[in-house]
Formats: sequence, C-alpha cells, structure tokens
Amino acid sequence: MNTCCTTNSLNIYVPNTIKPWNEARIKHLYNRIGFGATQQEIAQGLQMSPSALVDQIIDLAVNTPLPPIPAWVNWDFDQMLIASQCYYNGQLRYNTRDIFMAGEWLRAIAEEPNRLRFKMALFWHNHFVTEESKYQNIIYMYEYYHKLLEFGLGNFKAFTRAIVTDKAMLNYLDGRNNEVCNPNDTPNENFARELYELFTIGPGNYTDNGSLNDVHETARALSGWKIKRISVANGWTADDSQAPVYFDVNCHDSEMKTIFGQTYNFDVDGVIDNLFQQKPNEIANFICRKIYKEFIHTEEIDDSIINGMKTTFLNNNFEIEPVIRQLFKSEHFFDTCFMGSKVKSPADYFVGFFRDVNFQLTDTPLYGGSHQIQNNAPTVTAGFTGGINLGIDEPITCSVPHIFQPYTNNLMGTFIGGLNRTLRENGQNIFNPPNVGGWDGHHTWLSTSQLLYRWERLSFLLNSRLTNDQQTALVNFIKDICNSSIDNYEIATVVLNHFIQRATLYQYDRSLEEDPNNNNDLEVKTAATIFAGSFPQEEFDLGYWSWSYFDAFNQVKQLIIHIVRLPEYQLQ
Amino acid sequence: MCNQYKRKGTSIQNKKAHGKDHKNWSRRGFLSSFGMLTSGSLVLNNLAVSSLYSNPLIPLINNANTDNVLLIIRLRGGNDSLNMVVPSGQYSLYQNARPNLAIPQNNLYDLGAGWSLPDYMVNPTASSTNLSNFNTMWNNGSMAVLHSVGYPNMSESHFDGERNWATASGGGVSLETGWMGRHLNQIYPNYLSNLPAVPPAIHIGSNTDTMFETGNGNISYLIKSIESLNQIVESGTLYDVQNLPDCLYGSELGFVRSIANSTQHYTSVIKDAFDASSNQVTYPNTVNWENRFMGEKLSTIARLIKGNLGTKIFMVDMDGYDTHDQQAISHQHLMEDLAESISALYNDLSLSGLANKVLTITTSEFGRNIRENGSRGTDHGNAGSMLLFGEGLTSGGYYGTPLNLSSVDLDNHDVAVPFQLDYRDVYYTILKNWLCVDASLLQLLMGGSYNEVLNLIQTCSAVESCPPNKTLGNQTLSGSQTHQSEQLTSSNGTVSNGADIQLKSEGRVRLDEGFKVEQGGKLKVAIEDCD
Repeated sequence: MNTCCTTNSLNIYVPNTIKPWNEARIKHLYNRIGFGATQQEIAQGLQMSPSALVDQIIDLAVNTPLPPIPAWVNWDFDQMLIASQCYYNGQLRYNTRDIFMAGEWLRAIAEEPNRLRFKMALFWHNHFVTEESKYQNIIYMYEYYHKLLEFGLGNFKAFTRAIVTDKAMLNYLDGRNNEVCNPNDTPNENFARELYELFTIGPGNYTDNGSLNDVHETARALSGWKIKRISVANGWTADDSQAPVYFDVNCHDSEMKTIFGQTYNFDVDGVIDNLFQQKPNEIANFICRKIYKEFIHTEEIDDSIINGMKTTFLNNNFEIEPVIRQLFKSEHFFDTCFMGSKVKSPADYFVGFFRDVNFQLTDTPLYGGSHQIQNNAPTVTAGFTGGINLGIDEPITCSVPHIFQPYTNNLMGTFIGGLNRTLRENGQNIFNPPNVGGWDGHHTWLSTSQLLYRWERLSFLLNSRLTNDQQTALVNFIKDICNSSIDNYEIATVVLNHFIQRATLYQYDRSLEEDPNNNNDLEVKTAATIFAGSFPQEEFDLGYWSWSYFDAFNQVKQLIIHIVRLPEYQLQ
Repeated sequence: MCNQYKRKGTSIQNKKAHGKDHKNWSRRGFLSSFGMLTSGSLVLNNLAVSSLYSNPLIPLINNANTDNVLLIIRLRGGNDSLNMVVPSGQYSLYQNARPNLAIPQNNLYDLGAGWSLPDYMVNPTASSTNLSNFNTMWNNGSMAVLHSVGYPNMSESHFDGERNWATASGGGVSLETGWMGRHLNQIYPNYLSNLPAVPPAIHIGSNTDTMFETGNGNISYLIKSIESLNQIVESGTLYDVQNLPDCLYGSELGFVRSIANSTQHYTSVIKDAFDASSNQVTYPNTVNWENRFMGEKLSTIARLIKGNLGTKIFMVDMDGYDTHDQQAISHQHLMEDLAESISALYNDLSLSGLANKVLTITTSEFGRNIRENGSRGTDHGNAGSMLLFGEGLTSGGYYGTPLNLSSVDLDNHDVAVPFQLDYRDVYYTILKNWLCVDASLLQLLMGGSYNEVLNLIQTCSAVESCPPNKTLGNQTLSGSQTHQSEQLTSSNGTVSNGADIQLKSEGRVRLDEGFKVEQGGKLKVAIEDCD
C-alpha cells in the first residue's frame, strides 16, 4: 500500500501553493480536535494563519473555566436516595447517567467553542478507563469526569497521581480492596498491573513475576486506600460517596518495597515519583504514541514524529498541552495524506452531523425525545437502588422538585435527550467502554450492523422528527451555503464538499461529459439526480426550479440522507 | 484524484443491470468482490484457515453442523411468571399473596400437576385464524415449562440481571462476552474481516445486545424492521473496492466501502429470503402497544426461516414487563400478545414442515416477587418460569422443581421465588443438544461447568443429507493428493512441507485440534453444499 504520507516534520505548517490553507484543512483541524466546524469557524479560520488558529483553539480550551460543580454532587445520602426513588422507580443510575451525560458532556462537545477540553476528556476516558456499570455511583462518575476535564491538557504526572485515588478507579480496579491489614494478607494487584501495562509504560517495561516483581511490590505500596462506609437503614451500610477517600495506615503494607530496582518504603506518592523518575522515556513513548494514534492515525505511524513529541513531553515535565499544540501546528498534522483517513466514532458521526446541518442540540424535534420524565413519580414502597436493597419501608413521596430537574427540564425532548442512547446503541457507550482497554476505535467502530444503524438513525431523524420550523431552517441553511444557486449540479457539488472531507474537492463540469479524460466526479451526478427527484433535469437547466419549490425540503432531505450514508461520510 | 469508475450495474443509475447484479452474486463472487479472498488465505466454509490455527480457542472447524434454528424471546423488565404459569394447585396461598392480581380460579386452563395458564393465553381474544394454540402445543408435547429458573444470589437490578443472562454470569461467575457471541465467534472467528455469507444471528430490535458480544464487536445483525430494509435495498449502491483513490485515504475508503457493500449484501439476502416466502397464517396485530409489534416480528422471522435464509440464531425483544404498578391489564396484554404470536409462528412453520427445526425460548432478567405491592403491581424478585416451544422438544411438559408456596415466608412482602434450576443448565442443553456444539467446547463456551437438563431436547442430529464421515486418521498428508466427495475428518494430521493437498467435499471437513499445516505445505479446501 502506497500511503503517500511524506516525512513531514513537526515543524510548523506554513501554507504554500501545494498545501494551501483552505476550508478542507480547517475542517481537518476541527474534525480532529473534535466534532466538526461551524460555518463561522471556517470563515474565521481562513482569515488567520494555521498556527494562530491552533493557538486560539488551545488557549480557549486552557483558559475557559471548567463548568461549575452541580449542587447535587454535595447532597447527602438521604437526599440522593430520595432523588433516586423519585426518578424512574429508583433507577437513578441509568437514567441519571443519560441526563447527566446529555447535560454536561455531549452538549459541551456539540456546542462549546472550547470543545477541545471535552474532546481531551473523552480521549483520557479511553485511557484511564473506568466503567460506570461496575462502580454504579453518580458522585464517583462526576468526580472522575471532573478529573478528565481538569487534567486533560494538564500535567500527566499529576493526572496519574489523581487517578490512583479516584473513587471510580478505586472501585473499578479494586484498589479499595487492596488491603494488607495482617502480615499474611496478600495485596490486590489489579490496579498496579494496569497502572504500568495500560496507563503509563506498556507491557515489557516492568516485571510481574519472580523475585523482582514490580507489580506485586507496587500493589503493596498502594495498599490501604479506602472509601468511607456509613450505616444507612436496617443494618445496611453504604459508601459515603461525598467523603474524601482516606488512607487506612492499619491496612497499608509499610515494609520496604523494591520497584524498578529502587528499594524504599514507598507509599502512593512514592510510587508515582519513582515511576516518573525511573521510566520517563517509556512513559513519554507510551503516551505520545497514544496521542498520535488518536489525532493522526491508528496504523500509519511515523516514529520520528513520536520521538519529537517525546522530546517535547520530557522537556516540559510531562505537560500535555505543549505536545498537543506542537502536533496540531505541525506540517505532519496537515499532511494531505491524513485528511479523511480516520473512521468516525459514533460521537464524531452524530455530533458532527448536527453541526453539519447547523442544528442546535437543544432544539426540540417533534414528539419530544426518547424519554418520558416523571416529575411526580408514584410513591415508592420498597427501597431499592443500585443493586443494594436499602430496606426502606417508609413510602417516599416525590412532592419536591428533585435535583435533576434543571437538567431534565431543559433537555428532555431535545435532540440531545436521545443522543447518549444513540451513541450507546451505535457502540460508544460513554462512561462504559467495553473493557479496561477501552474502545479500539477506527475500523472497530464499523460493522455491518453499526453502519446500518447510522443510516437508519439519521434517516429516521430527517424523515419523521423535524418540526416545520426545523425543516424550513434546514432548507435555508443549505440554500445559504449554496449561495442560493438553483443549479442542481452546483448544489450537489457544494453540499458534497460541505459534508465530506477529503483532500480534493468534488467537481463536475457538465460541458466535459463527453470528454473521456474529464475529471468529473460521478458522485456529483448521482447526488444531483437524487436532489432533482421527480423535477425534470431539463427544467432545472432552464432555471425553472427555485428554493421555494413546494417539495424543496424533501429534495434537500433526500440529498442529505444520501450523503450521510456514503462511505466517504464515515471518514474524517 | 479518485477515479470514480464503476462496474456496470453497480449503481442505481442502471437499475436493471443493478438488479441483475444482485442476482448473480454467488458466494464466492461476493467474497472476492469485497476483497476478502486474498492470496494465501483460504476460505473454508467461511473460516480463514490461516487465522484458525493462530487461535488456540478454535479446535474444531464447522462443528455447528445443524440446520436447527434457535429463537430467543427476551421479556424485558422482569416477567411476572406467577401470573403466566399459575400455581393453581396452591390457589389459596397464591390468592392471599395477590388479593388484587391473582388470576380468578375459573379463568384458568389446567396444565396438570397443580399449574395452569390464564385462559387468555390459551384462547386469545384477538382475531386470528390460528389452527392451534398453547393448549394443543402443550398436549402435543411441543411446549415445556421450566420451573424456578435462575441462578445463585440473583441480582434484582435490571442491568445486572440482563447482563448475567446475556453472558451466562451470576452466582460468582463474571463473564464479559455474550454466550451467543462466544458460540458464534467460535464458528466464525474472523467474522469482521471474513464475512459469513449470511448473518450468523439476526436480532430484531433497536439496541445491540450483550448476548452477541464476542469481545471483538457484536456478531448479530441488528434490524428494526423489514420496511427499513426496503429503502436500503431500493436505494442501494454497490461501491467499487477495486478502483480507489490513491494513498491512505483510498485504503480507508476501501475498508468502509467493503463494509457498506457487506451491509447492502446482508440487507439483500434478508430481503430476498423475506420476499421468497410468505406467511400462511395470520399473525396478531395487537396494535403498537408498548412498541412491541410481536406479531410482526415473529412473522418476519418465520418468513426468513421459510425463505431459507440460513441464519440459525434469532432474537427479539419484548418490552413492558417491569410491572410495578397496576399490572393486571398490562400483563394480560403482554401474555396475550406473546401467546398468540408464538402460536401463529408455530402454525406457520408447521404448514411448511419446519416446526421441528425451530426451538423458541423465553428469558427474562428476573421473576417478580410472590406478593403484590401496594400499587397493584409486583416488585423485582428472583427466579421465574421459562417457556420452551418446538417439535424438537423431547416430550414437553414440566422440568425443574416447582415453587412450594408453603415453604416460603409469605409474611415478608419481599419474598421471591427461590431459584432451583440454573438457567445456564438450559443454555448448556441448548448448545449441546440443539446447536450440536461439540462436547469438548461446551465448558469453554459456557464459561463454567453446567449440567444437561435431561430429556428436554432430543440429542443433536447432524444434517441428514450429508454423507457419513470418513476419518483420515493420524497421518501425514504429503505429495499431491485429492480427496473428493466425501466427509473428511482428521485428527492429529499434518500437511507436510511441500505437500499440495486438495480436499473436496460435499459437506463437512473437520480437522481436529492437532491437525496442522507445516510451513511450505498447501491445503486447499473446496466445500460444496451438502444438500
């Protein structure tokens, strides 16, 4: 396979006649940074240098304050319990996750100008993986998510340290069960192994058997971190979710440990310090490779670029942001060969679609969203939540507005209300990657079923969910990007180029149809035919068609349904 | 610049040629046009031999040599099975526990041995021309009731319960992949790159199910309805995978195009099977209640089976079983819909002589509590009854230990049906006796040791029209040999360096675990359909 990827360096990309700064490259940047570009962003980007635009995007992500912490994060146990009982018959976990997700993360990646921060959080979610289905606690989910946002462009060492004692992670990889309370206790090695294998240095850079066992010794050093338990009702206990994690010195192995050849009485900070002192090159290689695979290509890897990123990472004391900034500015990043070479994730595909058609995710389609909310749920007679029977015998009446109403009221019935479900059904169940290794991405996003799902989902949306206003808005938006052209070939060309990102623009010159050497894209002809529908081509050619034609929405719709199904639209 | 050259007939612009193009697809043509037959990789009944030997979990080739079909109907939300199979022999205790929800005694159809079905499951009210209902199926021995099915320490969470039933987990066992995913992945280890000619499993629903997770994706083909496929077929385009743009973009586009073509292909074969057959009975059209469409879903599956699609695993979801509140009418509707749809399915299959080829099972993530709650509903419980249907059942009837209402604490409002029969014993029995999985694989696929439910399903019979096996035995195949028109089985054989062996068979070729092809040896296998 001739990949045609040149050996472009990490030097700053300077436009030239062969590699001009154009709409395709701006889209490439925004697609990789996250979820497409608006028309305004493209127009503005064309007025700036590539380097200045990258600086602007990254500075915005770094400087914009994080979203405020929702009030419910600090609710006590009883308040959480009541809220859970008042929501979907006690199924707090699922449905809150949908709403929480919709409210906090998907809306942000869809609508925030500083979406790089949220995109980085998604990237790190797939690195420091936890699965909500195991820890089943919305407070832990929020705290974990907040760390992904906080450290996503920050210091990787501080990030790693924060994750070690994160409550979601302590549950997910059994850190809270890693106890050495008696001399004969054996530590739980689950987290220690993944810390090295999946989170920092990769396989082959540590030992996990024999007398010099880095994993075992690390597990000993990390023992004793716990989550507080409290009594609730009828003899049941539960996590005190809001309480900080604590260190139980009585269940910590305080003997000497030898890790990476260093013998010391390591504790958690010692483990992290030692790791970053002893294995800086391995860490830099592992993390920079992962960043490269996410933002450039999964399989087409240029080791010299990764070496350059490593140098930057090490020179900046494991700060992530300089690596990202350098990569996005580089001529390597803007190499033509990488444009359109990555399979869209479900989030890329669906969120990107909303941006491509200029819908706001907070818009309300017909018939509401996929959920029905019970603002006044029936009384609950048996307490049951999160798999633990709490033995609540007193009926709870949901007379007070519950804590999630600000989210639900705002988002129920909007496009975003069904988006998390859509992504889950399409294979990207956010907060629940398939396993500790995360999503493999790229080719694994597409199977026959998943492609069919994408086709059907957007057909359904366009065919039967849009209000009259949304239909009109869509026609006007397409009319705008086509500069009000009434030539169906020109419309097809513009719309194809708007939706599909590839290195060369679609083009079609009807006067050259008989020329065997023409450069016409037959895809334009197909799209133009679909757009025309039953309106005769001869009458298009005579200029008889207009944007106020009674069937214009249907024509636009058929064209868009056709385009979003194209293999080309699955790539970015 | 991408050259948009397309083969004649590959796009909708030439509709006539396009239709012809569909018809002319042979399986081989299908594979090669999608770039799946590459030099050096053998395709053996959908398996790439080369990859087969790198996978230690794949000791056998093509062991699922059966044309038996399994249909799984999942009752989502936790079915209240005590109002499905009613303990009429303990009626007063049952009625005391359910003063508002007990099915009236004179509205029960007695199955014998102290258990009954509600009349409305036996004599559905909705109009239909069905020839027989559950009473005839029960009396004919083509219906079985499995009592108190569950697993140790059952979860009362929907999520965990569904996950357990999908993966064969619970009671201290925790598995990531689905039981059907493991089974099908064992038959089609490289199903993503080496696409089976027909979907190995079809799930009519809106959400891919963990049951079909292989660890490397989901092996089921998820469809919403045949109507949704119509549009795909009619607007379908076959994309060119030979003439692609240059560079990385071209190779990635080729990947997506091959998936799109495969999707088109699956859609077409499903549609072809559907169009090649018809329903011979009327299915219930019990309105769009709770979005169920059970009659439509089962009539679709009947047509795919009758149309010889070749898919062996089907699954449908039936929502609405989380009946916490005012359940009397809603549960009755569910039961009527379920009973009438299944009756119609088997009447339909019988008229085509296929009722003995389809086994149907119902599953639900848990049963519900024995006592009704304060809002005339039932809360999450533990074990529940499972129903099985089909002429492939040994004799039908009861299995497992029935609930004894005098031995549970009916004063406790949370009292649940204690589990007696592990649902994984049922899965095990289905894999072994219905799907003809080799005994050596059962423990691996199930993720643990389970027991056969004795006399539930007749022992597996291989496809009858295939010729008997011939064992090559423990021998080295060398030089140039051709084996033709016979069933070949080899254990511990070797294709030696320099050998050029051709196996031609009208059916199964089975190479056991020890069989290997040495470097430099060539093994070419041609399979023709058995029948």
